[in-house]
This record gives sequence, structure tokens and C-alpha cells, in this order.
Amino acid sequence: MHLSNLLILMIVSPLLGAVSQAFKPNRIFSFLASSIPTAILFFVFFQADWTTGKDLFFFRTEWIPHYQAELFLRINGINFLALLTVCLVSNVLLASFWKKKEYEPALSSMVLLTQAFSIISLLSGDLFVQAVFWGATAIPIYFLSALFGSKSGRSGFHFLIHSMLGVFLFFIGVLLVYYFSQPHSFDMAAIKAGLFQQSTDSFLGIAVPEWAFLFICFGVFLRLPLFPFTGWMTALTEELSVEMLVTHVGIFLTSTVVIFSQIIISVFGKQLTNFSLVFLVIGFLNAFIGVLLLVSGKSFPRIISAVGMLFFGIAIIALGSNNTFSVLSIVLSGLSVGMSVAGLAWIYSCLEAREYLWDRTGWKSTGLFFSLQSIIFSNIAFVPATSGFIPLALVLSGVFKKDPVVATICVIIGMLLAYAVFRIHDEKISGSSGEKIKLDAREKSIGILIVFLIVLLGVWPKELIKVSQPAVVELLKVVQQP
Amino acid sequence: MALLPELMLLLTLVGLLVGETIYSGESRRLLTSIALIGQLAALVQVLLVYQSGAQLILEKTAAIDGIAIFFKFFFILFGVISSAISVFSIEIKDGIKAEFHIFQLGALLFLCLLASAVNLMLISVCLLALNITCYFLSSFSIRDKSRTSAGEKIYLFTSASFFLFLIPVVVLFGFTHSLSLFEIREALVAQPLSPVAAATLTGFLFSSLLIQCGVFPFHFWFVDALEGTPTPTEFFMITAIRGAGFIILLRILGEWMSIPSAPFGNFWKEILVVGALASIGVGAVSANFQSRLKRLLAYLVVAETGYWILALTELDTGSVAAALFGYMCDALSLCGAYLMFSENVDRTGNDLINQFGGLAKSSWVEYACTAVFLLSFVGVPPLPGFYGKWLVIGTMFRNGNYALGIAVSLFILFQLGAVIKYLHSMIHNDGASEIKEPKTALAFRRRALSVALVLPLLFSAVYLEKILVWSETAIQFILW
Repeated sequence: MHLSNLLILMIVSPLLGAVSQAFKPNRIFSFLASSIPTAILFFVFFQADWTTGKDLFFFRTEWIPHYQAELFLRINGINFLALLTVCLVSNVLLASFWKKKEYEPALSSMVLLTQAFSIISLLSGDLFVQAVFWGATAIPIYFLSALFGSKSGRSGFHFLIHSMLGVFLFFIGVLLVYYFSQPHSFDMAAIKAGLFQQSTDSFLGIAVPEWAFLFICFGVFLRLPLFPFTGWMTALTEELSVEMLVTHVGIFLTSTVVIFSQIIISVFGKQLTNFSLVFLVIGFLNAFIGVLLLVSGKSFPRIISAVGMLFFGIAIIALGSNNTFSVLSIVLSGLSVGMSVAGLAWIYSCLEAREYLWDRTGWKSTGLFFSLQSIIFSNIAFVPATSGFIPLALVLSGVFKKDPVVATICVIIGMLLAYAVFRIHDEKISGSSGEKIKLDAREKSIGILIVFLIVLLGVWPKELIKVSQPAVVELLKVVQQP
Repeated sequence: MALLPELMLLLTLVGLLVGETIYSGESRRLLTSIALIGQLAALVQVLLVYQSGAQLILEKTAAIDGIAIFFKFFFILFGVISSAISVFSIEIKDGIKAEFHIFQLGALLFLCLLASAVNLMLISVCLLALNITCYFLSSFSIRDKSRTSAGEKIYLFTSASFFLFLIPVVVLFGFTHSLSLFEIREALVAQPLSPVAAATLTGFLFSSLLIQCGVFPFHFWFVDALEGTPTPTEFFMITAIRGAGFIILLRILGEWMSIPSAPFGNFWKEILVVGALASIGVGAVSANFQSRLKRLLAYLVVAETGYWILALTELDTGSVAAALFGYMCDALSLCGAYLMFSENVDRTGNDLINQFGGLAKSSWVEYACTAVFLLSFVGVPPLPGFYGKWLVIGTMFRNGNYALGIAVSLFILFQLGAVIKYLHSMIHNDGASEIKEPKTALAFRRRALSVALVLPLLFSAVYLEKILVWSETAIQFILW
């Protein structure tokens, strides 16, 4: 089999798994369908030569030649870690929510669909395909909220409408890029090399490339959501289901950060430089709000959404710093956040299976469950020797090069974050009233795997940096060109 | 040879009439099979005719061109699906199934003739005959008063549309001494109309076609008519009435409005853009306030029609091909959606949205199919309806109509809101009436049909390029 065909298998496998659940629900089959892309990624990790920083495997075929849209799939050092995150989080989610009775086939189907759509959008080098499947992820995530969230459906409705508004704004931006590139193209490499940035057309006194940049940024910010568009989410977080939030943050958000960074850096390098201060401020505000949400984190949904907001805030700060350190941190932090969210999903599933509730102290535990939870929460707090620390250190290095004042503020936010996380740890996890929760073999193995990955990435990130660094350097050449 | 599909439909219609007269009782069930076989045969013949190339027939009153073939193919295909849906419905009882098939075949026959017609007399006759048949199709179950009322509205408003259409036909005949679309075009190129005459004729012509398509400000009758029509017939009614208006509009725009000297001025464009935009807005917003499923969907159809008419106003190959693709995706989505609605209405006994609670749990596959059909219909990625709409919006961007493109893309959110309201209502069963489970064999067949309808819809996105090329080839003949 040609290696490029593996890229197709990575997409087809979860899609088939999702469809099969409608006809013949089977947990093992859904887990296998989700695991095949992970296995392929591990194979690629060991096979590929990452030192070149170029795209490694291609699959290219025409789709709509009328509009120069093509199915152009590729793996490189930038999207590899995001793909790995998406696949690992999907695997953990499916394994963790194994025992859920009501709508279980729907849960598997929706997680698999989100995985498949995220993989396509990450793999794609064509803006059209990327935008379509990036937008498509909203649908399965919405159904996770509708099926498992509150009965009123308010939160799911808000999520979908905001998401779709974001998708449409994003798509308008993509269409502007297409129509103002000469020759018209959706291929990111061709747009980079083309004359899009030289376009002199303007609308209401603002040049078209600026409009396209603003549409794409607003689209992404609305969809995540990012401050100042977070009002509905902070008000309705309790009504969103944990299943939906972990999929949203663990799969969608981690892939979006990489997709957004790639588009912004490679197509809008000029605008990124002009707007870097705005990015830094927005990122700082979001990270701060994320910490505040964690401080008031009385429920699981609130903690997960806080982690998401914090992560995206840091990513935007990194994007605003616009150098090798910070862009590398974006790629690495996705994996770290994915592990944190997968860990939270695992904790939630263990508690739910025993009918414990977050707002009760009765589930304070001892033994293995307590230890694993402590490591997962340490990862959220970016404690050294966990996977969260290295990306944070890289972001701070990058920001320090750009603006030492902002870097100092970020350090203060980091300290606040550590305080918030350990307060949660003290109040909810550790304590004298704890009881020993006996985990079954499946729960143990998932928990240990997550913690193993968190620690491994924390103490030995060298291999992953080797994968991504050459590709990041290659990507940033575009911005650094005069 | 060129009229083989119409002859096949006519033969089937005669066969059904004879069968209905001679046989009764058990053998009635065969009528559905005969209707299905006849339509399938006609469908195959459309493909055979496609190979023989473009030609003018019946003393140049009809054209067997790409556009005629395109519409005939889809009209007959949707006729087949509509007949298949009727098999499962308990709304169309066994005793009136024969009437249903006879009226549907009649409407299909006139639709196919209309698709080929290039002579104003033939167009008028077919339009009148089609509208009368649709009136019968809507109200043949005369015991139900809402259906009779729906039929009356169809009759009244389509008659108004017909008479408004007749006025410019007569005036143009007096001016050019011809009823052929092509000859009128040549006459108009040689001697343009006065501005007042052009504006008046345009007003009458497009008012007529906007009524026929159910576009703002003439949408209200369309919504009421669809509400009163039996659910399995509703999809075919949308295809027939709206399709007739759409094809006449396409022919007239392609022949007359594309003349470089613009003998009708640019007034027509303003009428269509305002009508289409208002339809999109009114349809999308109103759909959110409906408590009945049929009205909700009818408003969504009004909004969708606006998109395709807006695409026609751009009058270039790309936008018209996008409109044809979008129209096809819409119809495919609608037929699946109506299959599902028909089942839901059968199971709950009414079409109140809050009565469908719990259906998602009892029929997970059907729920998934309904979601695919409806989300595709309103244009959610990555489903085919999305591409249709964004190809149209893309052409607006290409032609510099940014504000219009952005406005219509945002209205999709309102449509989505209405669809989500319905889809969410099917998940939790608070306050819903007890849902009757369908018989196993029937449920299985319906499930198989719904999955069978999802597949071509999804494949239309995969083979989007091929369909676009086909659509562009189809309109080469009319866009001079």
C-alpha cells in the first residue's frame, strides 16, 4: 500500500465507524475505528524524516476543478501533533464513556464524526475543504449537547448558532481570499506565492486582504468562543453536557488552534504583524477570564470550558508574539491540553459510573484514583515535569522576546492559575473525608495511560520538538520575508 | 423519439384510468406498481432522448435541449419518489390511491411538456393544465375541509398567475406577431420596446412568475396551500408548482433578458432581487415562529426559492449552474424530509412540533436521516445544500455584490434555527403524546428507503463537479 493511501484510511475509518453505529451499535468496533488513525500516526512518526520541515505524505485529487478546489491531504510537522491529539482524545473519550447506556451509539457516532471531520480539516492543504470540514464539526458537537445536555436546548441552540455564524464569517473570508488571489486558488501554497496581499481593491476604505483577515479572525473567535463573544457560554456552561465540552475543547479546539495558526501565518503574515498587539491583548484577556472561571470552578463543565479558554488565550498570545518559540508552543500545547481534557473526561466518567456528583465532597478519594487525578490537575496548572510546562515555558520565552511587560503579566496569570487549580484540588479531590474508590481494569488502564503520556511529554519532549521545529521554522519564513 | 418520456407517462396514465375503471379491491395495490414502473420507464427514456442531441419539435413549439432534459429527469425522478412515499403513508388511504397516482401522472405529463415548451401558447396551456391538476391533487380527499381550502387557494392564485402571464403574451404577440421565444427575441433585438411598455410587461410577467414560485409578496398562499395538502403529496406539489415557475423564468431570462441591448431594461433585475431577498428574509424568520411542522417547512421552502431566484438574476453560466445544482439538492433533501415527516405525522396523528418528542430515541436511524435531509436543505457544511448556496453567494462576491452575499448568508442562520427547533423537539419527550410504533415490516422498508435517499444526496456532493458540468452544458443552448 502506498503511504499516501494511509491518509485516506485515516479519514474513512472513523467515518465508517460513525455510520456503522446507526445500524449495528458495537463499542469495540467504534473504538477500533477510532484507533486506526492513531495507529497510522504512530507508524508515520517512526517512518518519516521530520528534519526537512516540508510536507511528508501527499494525497492530491481534483474535487471541483471549476473552483480549483481539491482534496489535497498532507502530513507535516505542524499538523502531526494536532492530529495525534485529536485521535488520542477521541480514543480516550470512547473508552471512558464505555458504560453510558442512553444514546450510546449516538455518543460514539458523534465523537467519531468529530474526529473524522477534524482529521480532514487538519490534513487539508486546500482552504475550501479545510473550511467546509472545520465548519462541519459543529454538527456532531451540537448533537452531543442536544442529546446529553439540558432538556431546554438553550445552550445547544446558542452553541450552534454562534458556531455557524463563525463558520459563515470564516467562509466569507475564505471566498475573499479565493476571488482576490491571482490566479484564483484555494491552495494555501499557491495563495502564499500569489498576489493576494498585493490586491488594491477596498471596501469602505479598508483593503480586501484586511477584510478577509478580519472575517476569518471573527469567525474563529465567535466559534470557539473567545472573549468578547463568551457571554452565552459563561451563562449557560452548566447546561452544556460534559460529553459535548470535552469533544469541543479536546478535539475541536486543539485542531482549530493549529488550523487558524497555519492560515494566519501563511496567508496573512502582513496583517499578523500589524495586529500583533491586538492579539496579545485578546489572548491575555482570555487567559485571565479562563483563570477566573477556574477560580469559580464549581462544576465539571465550568472547569473544562475554563481550560479551553485558557488554552486558546495562551495560543493567541503566542500567535501575537509571532516567533519560532511561540509557534512551536502552540503546536505542543495542543497535545498537553488534549491530555488534560481527556483526563478530566476520564475522571468524570469514573465519578458518573459511581453516581458521584461534583458539588458533593463525598467523592474525595484516596489511593490510585487520587494520585492520578492529582497529576491530571497538575498538568492543568502547568507544573514542571508535566506536559503543560514545556509549552508554557516556550510561550513565555517567545513573549519575552516580543514584549517583556506582557511576559511578566503572563507569569502573574500563571501563578493565579496554579492557585486556582490547587484550590480545586484541595476542596474537591484531597481531604480527610476521602474514601478509596476501586477502579476497574479498564478505568485503571485509561487513567494510567493518560498520566503516563502527561509525564512522558513533560520529561522527554525532545522527540516531539524534533518533529515540529523544522516545520515551524519553514512556516515562519513567510512572515519574516520582507 | 423525442417525446418518448411524455408518451410513456401518457400510456401509464391511460393504463391506470382503465385499471381503476375495470378492477377493484385487492388489485388496487397494483396501481402503485404500475405508476412506479411507468415513471421509471419514462426516466430511462429521458436518458435515451439525451443521447439523440438537441432538436426543435412539434412545429418548433418545443425544444429537446439540455435544460428540458435536465428538468424532465428530475421531475420524473421526484415523481417516482413521491409515488414510493405514498406507499407508506396512511394519509392517502387505499381507496383514493388510484386518484392520487392519476393526478400525479397528469401533473408530471404537463410538467414534462412545460420543460420542453419554447412557444408561449404551449407554455400557457401547460401551465394552466398543470395548475388545475395540482388543484385536484391537493384536494381530491374532499372530506377534509382544510384540503379543500388548500386546493381552492392553489386554484385561485395559480389562475391569477396564469392571467397575469397571459397579458404580456398577448401584447408581445401583437408587437412581434409571433409566439416563439426565439422569434420574439429576434424581433426585440431588431426593434426594442418603449421604456413604459417594457416596464409594464416586465411587471406583469414577473408578478405572474413570482406568484407561481411562491415568492414574496405572494408567498402566503403557497404556505397555506402546502399546509392543507396531504403530506406525501406536499413534496410533489412543491416540485411541480415551484418547478414550473422556475423553468419558465429560466427560459425567459435566458432568451429575452440576456439580450445585450436590454429591450426590457434592468427593471426586471430589481424586481427579482427585491422579491428574492424579501423571500429569503421573510421565509427564514417566519419559519422560527411556527408551531406546525408543515408551515415551518413551507416557510423554509419560500426562503430557499429566494436563493435560486437570486442566482438567476446574475445571469451567467456559473450562477445558473449553481442554481440548478442547488435546486436539485433542495429537491433531494425535501423528498427525504417529507418521507420522514409523513412517518412522523402518521405516528403522532398531527404535525404539531411539540408532539414529536422521543422519536429520536425510538427511531435513531430515521432521526439521523431527518437531520441529514434538513441540515442539507438549509445549507449546513459538509452537506450538499451548503455547496449550492455558497456557489451562489460566491458568484455574488465575484460580481462585487458583497453586501448582498453577506446578507443572504446570514439568513441561513435563521433557517438553521427553525430546523434545530424541530430536531431538538424530537429528542426529549416532555409533554409529547404517546408515539405509536410502526409495524416492523413497514418500518424496515421505510428505513431502507430513507437510507436509499440519503446516499444520492451525499453522492451529489462528491460528484459536484460532474453535476455542475452537466448543468452548464444544459444551459448552453438557452444562454445565447
